[in-house]
Amino acid sequence: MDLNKIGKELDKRIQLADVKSYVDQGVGLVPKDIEMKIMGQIALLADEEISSLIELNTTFDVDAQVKASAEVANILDQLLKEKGLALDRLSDEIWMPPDTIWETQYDGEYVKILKARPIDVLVSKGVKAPAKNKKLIRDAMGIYGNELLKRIDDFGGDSSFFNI
Amino acid sequence: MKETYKINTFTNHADRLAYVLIKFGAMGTNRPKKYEGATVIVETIDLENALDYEPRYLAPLIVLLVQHPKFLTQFKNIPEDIYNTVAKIRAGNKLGEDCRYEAFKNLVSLCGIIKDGRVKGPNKKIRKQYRFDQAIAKKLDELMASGGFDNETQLIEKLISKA
Repeated sequence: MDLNKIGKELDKRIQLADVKSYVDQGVGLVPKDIEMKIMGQIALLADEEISSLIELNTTFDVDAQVKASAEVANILDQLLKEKGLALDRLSDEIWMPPDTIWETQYDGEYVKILKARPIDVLVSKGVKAPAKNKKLIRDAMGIYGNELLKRIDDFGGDSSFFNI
Repeated sequence: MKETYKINTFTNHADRLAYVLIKFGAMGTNRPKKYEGATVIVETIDLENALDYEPRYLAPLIVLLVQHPKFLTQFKNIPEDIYNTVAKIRAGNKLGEDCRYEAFKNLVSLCGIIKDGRVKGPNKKIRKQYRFDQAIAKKLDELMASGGFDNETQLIEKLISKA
């Protein structure tokens, strides 16, 4: 999943919608401070390094916290739909470790896309949904080793659940 | 006539299930080549074994069963809780018990259920060989070859109007 490409396309569509709104209604969309924070499985898939090391699967929902007006959110919904994806409306309820580092993936004219580091996503999964992510965490232990397990314990999870 | 037998490409039940989920658009993967050209006998998949190995296949499995109910008869021994969840979603229920570690309302959303309870279907276009029973797909090909129709949509509409 190319977040950079999505960001560029979103910027382009927002600009067009802004101009159209101005021409049609005399008022633009005032698109500013639009931010998408990508989490969950999509964040792992979008990460070239971990995606090259682990087999990842996904349903077609995108876990992302989106800061945008309703008009811009509609443009994003349409764009994701065309790519066979859908924004998970429960994304705001996803817990992420408080020290999560958000890496900038795209910083365009209107839109900024950030992605959580894979290890932060894995800690979130290991703490909040250990049963569902048992295999994923075990696979990732080969990459992050004790650091991953320690952080799962630090945030209230039980790393012994993932022992083979 | 010489009979041909299908052989499972994968020995692992989880890989067999993944192949079906990917082929029918219920799941995506970052390793598509692994599943290219594979063959899987659906009836041989032990679902509980596959889900024990890879629990993340639960949600896409429910999506598959809701969107392609023919698998309700093809899979042997569908776990009861999964079967009940699928039945509730297909009946158009918006609320229900969570299925293991998947929230019911999230499953409803993933299955593409529209307001009146009908299945919207996946966005991905699925070839007729996968949508229909093999005999029906073959029959459609024969009817198309006999001529008189510009495309398959015309043919199917004609068949429906006759029914």
